[in-house]
Amino acid sequence: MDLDDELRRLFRDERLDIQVRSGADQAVVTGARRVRRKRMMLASAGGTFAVAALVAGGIALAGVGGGVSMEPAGPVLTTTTSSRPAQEESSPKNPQAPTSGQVGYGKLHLGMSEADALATGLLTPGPDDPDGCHIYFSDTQPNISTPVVISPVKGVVRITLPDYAKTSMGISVGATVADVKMRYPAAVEYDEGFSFTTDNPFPWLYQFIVENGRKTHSLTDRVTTVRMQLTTAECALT
Amino acid sequence: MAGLGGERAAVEDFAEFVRVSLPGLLRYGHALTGNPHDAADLVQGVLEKVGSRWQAVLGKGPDPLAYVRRSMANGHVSRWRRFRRENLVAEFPDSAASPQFDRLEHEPLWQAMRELPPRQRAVVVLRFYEGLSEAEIAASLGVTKGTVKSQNSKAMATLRAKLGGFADGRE
Repeated sequence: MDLDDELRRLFRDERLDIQVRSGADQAVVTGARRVRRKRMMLASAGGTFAVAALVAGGIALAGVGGGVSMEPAGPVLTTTTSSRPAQEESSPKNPQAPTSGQVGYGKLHLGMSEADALATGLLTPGPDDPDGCHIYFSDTQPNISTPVVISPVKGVVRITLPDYAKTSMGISVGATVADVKMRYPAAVEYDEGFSFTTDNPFPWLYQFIVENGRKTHSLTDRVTTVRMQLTTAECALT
Repeated sequence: MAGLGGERAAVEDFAEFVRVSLPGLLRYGHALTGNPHDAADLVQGVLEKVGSRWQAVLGKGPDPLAYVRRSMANGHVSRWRRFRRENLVAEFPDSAASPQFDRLEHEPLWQAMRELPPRQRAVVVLRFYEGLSEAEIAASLGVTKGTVKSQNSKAMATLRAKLGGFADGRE
């Protein structure tokens, strides 16, 4: 018997059934109301969030790696201000000093509105995700799944870095797990790699994806994708 | 814009959808996550989100059940579900240590499936539980067909390796 048939048999197995709890439907309806109220509150606070990101100027991204000072060897994640287009036009291959509280790569930054993100001319529309967020592809990441994700409420929630880009602590695609652990000692391991969360200047995180076909990672395994994401449950960020 | 009457009708419609679809969704969640507790957590979380925008979901197409199942597949591979909520939707035996707790405990293929990374497992479930094509899986998960192909290939290779001669007919 082949594996395809075995998998189909497994998924027909009655032992997959789970008994529904009494009153489950009402519990779900109540939960849905709670989620809706929360989303409406977040939507009304969206403008406040954007302002908060702008006024948090002067906070250097280099500080999020645990206080270690390290000169990036290549393009850096930088804090560019949307009010200085001339500076944004400078090549992302050159290290730039952080100048405000915005977190991003090149012209894109987390929390940026969808209209502003589209105005960069970098994004090609993809499908919507199941939570109603919008997936975009970019020329620099043609083969990466869901490289940029934008929430109608929170703006840009995910930016996937080009393979050649390095974080402020010098991690890029191809870095080893040992490198990640050394430069981000507070990074947390999970089944797809490592994540490093910071509140500086607002809650967001790096994801260092290590696709090796296993749930655990050895020191010599290498990073296959680097992402920046807002810590939000808004979108289906797979 | 729907008024209060429309909103109430949407809530009632969603409640009916939950009543009818919950057993099947829990079962599907079990296949996706590999254990009943995570299945209940996943189903509850996705239904609450979907229900919070039910009218918009109905506007997306004629099959909200398919939409919910795609959302579950995405939710499963999402790393945002890092906590387990209080279960409100599924009934479990009193003790997790009960010998009946994991009724598929001695199924080798089930155990091998549980070891797969979430995205590979989702691809396998979408392919063999839902019977979706590579293109449909790619659209569901928001990835390229190439990614689906490679994830499926890795998953099947891992399953074959774990099952040894069993999967190759050399039982």
